[in-house]
Amino acid sequence: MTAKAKANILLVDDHPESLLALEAVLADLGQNLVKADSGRQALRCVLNQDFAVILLDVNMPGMDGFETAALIRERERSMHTPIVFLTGRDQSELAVFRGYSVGAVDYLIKPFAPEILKSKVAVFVDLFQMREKARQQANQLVAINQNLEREIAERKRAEAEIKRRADELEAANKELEAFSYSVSHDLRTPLRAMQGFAQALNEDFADRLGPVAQDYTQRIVAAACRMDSLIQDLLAYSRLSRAQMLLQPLDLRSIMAQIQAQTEGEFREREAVVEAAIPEAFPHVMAHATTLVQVVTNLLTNAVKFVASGVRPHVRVWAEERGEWGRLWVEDNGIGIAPEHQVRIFRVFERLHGSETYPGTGIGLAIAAKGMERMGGRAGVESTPGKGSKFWIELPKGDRPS
Amino acid sequence: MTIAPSTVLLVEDDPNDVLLMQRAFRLANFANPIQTVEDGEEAVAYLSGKPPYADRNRYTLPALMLLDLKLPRKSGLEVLQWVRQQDGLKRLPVVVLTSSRETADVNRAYDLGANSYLVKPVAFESLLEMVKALNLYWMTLSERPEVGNHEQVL
Repeated sequence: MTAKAKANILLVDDHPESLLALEAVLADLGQNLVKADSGRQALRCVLNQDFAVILLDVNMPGMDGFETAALIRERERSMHTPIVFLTGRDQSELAVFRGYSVGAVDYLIKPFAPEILKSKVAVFVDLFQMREKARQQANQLVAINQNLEREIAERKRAEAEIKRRADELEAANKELEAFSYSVSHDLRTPLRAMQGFAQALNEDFADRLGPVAQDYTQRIVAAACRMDSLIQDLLAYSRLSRAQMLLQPLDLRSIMAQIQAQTEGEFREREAVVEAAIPEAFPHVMAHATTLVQVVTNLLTNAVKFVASGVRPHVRVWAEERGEWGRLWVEDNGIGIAPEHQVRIFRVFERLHGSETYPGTGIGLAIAAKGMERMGGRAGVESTPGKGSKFWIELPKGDRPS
Repeated sequence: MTIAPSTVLLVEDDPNDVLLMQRAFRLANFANPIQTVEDGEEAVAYLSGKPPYADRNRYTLPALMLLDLKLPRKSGLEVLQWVRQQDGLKRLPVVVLTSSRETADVNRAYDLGANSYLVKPVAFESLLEMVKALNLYWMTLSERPEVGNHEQVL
């Protein structure tokens, strides 16, 4: 609480000795005493200051106490200031009545008992100070209110800003979708023509082309097909980046079985052996089924692809519990990856080999890494050149659905 | 009542794709006549027998429509929606054949009553396989519904 400010008390009397007497009595109230020796001076005082109480002598030359009181009452600032009239014993009851009618709150007859005067004035000082306190509290409330209003306005502005950004993001996303739509449609259409007609040339006019021209048309066919894979993989990557992923507890064992069924034909062609050993009781992991299938398929495709020539791909898949995580290992007998390349291979378009040796788009592992990131999981690799690689992915464990 | 003839209507705006499809049909020994129109409005004109397709002996109602989605003037989806609202055509088997594999397109096509949704492959071998499968599934194995301008009322 703030210390009480001193209250102003206005003493009005044309006799300096009376003023002195009043001052002497009221001094130990510890308030600020302001003296005026005429009604006119008193009016000047109330114009500039607020007073807790005005002690006003009735009998003054010029403007008397009643007239002064009437003018004090007319002014906005002093309209409610308590006025105590001081008067001699000879005043009639009529005068007392007149005093009250112009707004006096009390009447003191001279000579007055100092203790009574002091305690009366003290009451007005108390009243004033209470009123001041109430006023300060009201002011504080107003200030708090203004602060609140400012905060609300600021919050509204912030919310509007957030909404604006969300709208912008949504628009950007829509644009991206429209972009990948035209990529998938418009870019592939001419490719289809290139590939189709090159092949038609090769097949329908083989006898007129000769071996070199046939080799060229084959190359057009192959290049068009590679371009198509690139577009498809890029689309898959961008779709993965923006798709909504609802995660649910999934059984790695049945996911793996599903993938093996899908890839069986392709791996048989490569004479690859893929062995999966995931215990039936292995905890479920939180994942998005389609994305997880895509990630693991890409890891398997990667594992059977990068083997030294003449080596039969052999891939082992197993699961491991690591605290709150369920980890899936994919181990191959491939060519391995040097430590300095082990981070790079998860980026888009990173290839360590020419497409002649190991054909591919360089997006497969980037899709795997992005897919894991979007599902709140992780991916990594442990590898020694010449000794194969062990890729792993990790997902948070989830409850088995009851 | 018209007996549904075995014509296939190909709605395709890209002349390259038309040529490649025709080659694929030829190599697949596709026996049925193939009619081609190159935009959505033409497809509607053909199916409703409006000029220049008024001659039903020459432009017979198809037993199967292969419909591209991205077409000038009227999109494939609009054509599909229109077909499904016509009494005489609502049973016409429609196979969407397009470049887009966007989920929204696939869902919309099936919502509007497509019987199948195929994505045009880039490799010609795959296109050939697809045409052979179309022939086997839709022209040989599947029972055909009655398609005509007047629905049979029992």
